[in-house]
Amino acid sequence: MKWLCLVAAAGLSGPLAAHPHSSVDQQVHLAVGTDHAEVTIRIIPAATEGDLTREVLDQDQDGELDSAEARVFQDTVLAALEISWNTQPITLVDPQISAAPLERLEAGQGQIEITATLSVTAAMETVHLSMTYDGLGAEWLIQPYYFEDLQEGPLPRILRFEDSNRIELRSTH
Amino acid sequence: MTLTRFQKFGLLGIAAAASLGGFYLSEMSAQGRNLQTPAAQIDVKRDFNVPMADAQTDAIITAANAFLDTLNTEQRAAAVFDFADNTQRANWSNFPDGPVVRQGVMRGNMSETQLDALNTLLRTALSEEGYQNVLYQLAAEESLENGPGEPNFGDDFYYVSFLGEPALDVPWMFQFGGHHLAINVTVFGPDLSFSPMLTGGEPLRINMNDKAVYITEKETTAAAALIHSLSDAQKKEAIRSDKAINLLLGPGEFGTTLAPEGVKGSDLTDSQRALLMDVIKARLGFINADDFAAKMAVVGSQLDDTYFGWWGPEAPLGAAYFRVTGPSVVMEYAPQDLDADPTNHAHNMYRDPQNDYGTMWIAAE
Repeated sequence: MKWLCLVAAAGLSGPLAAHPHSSVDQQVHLAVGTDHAEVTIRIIPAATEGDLTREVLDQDQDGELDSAEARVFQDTVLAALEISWNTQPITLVDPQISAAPLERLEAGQGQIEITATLSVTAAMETVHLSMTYDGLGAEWLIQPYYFEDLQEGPLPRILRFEDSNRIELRSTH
Repeated sequence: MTLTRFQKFGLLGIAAAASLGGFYLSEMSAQGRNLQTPAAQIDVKRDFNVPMADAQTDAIITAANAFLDTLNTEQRAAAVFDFADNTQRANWSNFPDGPVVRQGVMRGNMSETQLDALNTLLRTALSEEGYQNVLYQLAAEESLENGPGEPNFGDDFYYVSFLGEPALDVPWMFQFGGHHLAINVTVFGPDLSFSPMLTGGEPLRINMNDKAVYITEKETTAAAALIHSLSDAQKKEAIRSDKAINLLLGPGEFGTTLAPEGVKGSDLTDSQRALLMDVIKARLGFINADDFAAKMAVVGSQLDDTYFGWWGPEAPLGAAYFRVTGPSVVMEYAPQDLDADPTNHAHNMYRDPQNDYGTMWIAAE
């Protein structure tokens, strides 16, 4: 009920509209160590695109996001994520998804989070990541993070591109 | 030992697998079903060898106890938590009161005497500039109109709390905050950590005492001066995107280590390094003079390994996200483009990645 109040109030006053996300916020967090990595995808759908959010997530149109629908969404998003490690394509291991209830997501007040581990066997020289999923919005922020072991030596060089949906890390050893 | 962001991810994965076979309705993130910030995962020591406090700490303790002495029994019980309470330690947010349930004594329930004592405490822990920023942020909040139901806007909905009792020979913590504002001060003898600190707010343009104020003018002006001083080659390193991005180190991000990006301090000229210091000073200048000087000495000694990154347009003032990333300081300035004017709303974080919540002193090995 608390959230219903917030949603109702959001249309009534400028400041109240400040917190539901009026545009989709999509981030890929790439956590890199010397020979290991994890990826976390966070999506906060736009309050102004509630119909789209429902259409994309609620495939059986029953008003809820169930576990099967969540897995379909997870697999669709991860299929659009390409990561190469030392130029070799990477397999994602143990993907997991968590999500706020559908009505929260529709209102721009809830988050979807997908996590996975990267199956890597060699020390990092280059990592290239691109995300092309555009079902809820086309733009992504890709943000690298470092494990402690990577911070002990020279830090990788981070290359960003005009196309904000890809990033490259290059070892400076 | 600080729990890293990536250890946290591991715990989330375990929780997920144990629930619905990999899918669960999230209670865990600040943006999930519940906006409440999760507890900071800190293994707090039981015994401490606290160095002898200096005059500044002595003054803060005196002001803190003077405030506590104004409270009645019920208020005092509400204000003081166990020092090991990691839930309350992390109970701050950029979100307003209501959706986020804060603890402590609410400003709106204080008498004039209590408010005076609170102001004295804030003035002692912070610099005059820092105290003025609090007043600006409260005035900005007061200009927001409440709608029906939650959330609660207004300067009443700011809370004071303590972890542990203010004393010379034990660590303790002072918290003051509400919507868009979080002052967290961990006191360990003569040493204070002001990390994590949330500032900014909405609106950023206010009128106070018949004077027009842009609350973050000093900081945004300093950052603009630095970006405008850079050569084309330096700008190529510093400017990461022409679009502003969102805050990354907000509530719930204890233990996160961002990869540094942007132009590196060692690649700046002496005058540009001075401008970078100005950017840092504009935010850390909210700290009282004694502890500010100690902090800036460390930050200055690490300037070679400090990066300045910029996401967004070079103008107008306040429209770009910028980030300072150094070994003991991470500062984000994150404009919020939710009400058609990103220059009038910002979520700004300062964290010390080596001493968030004073973990350098209070966390078990």
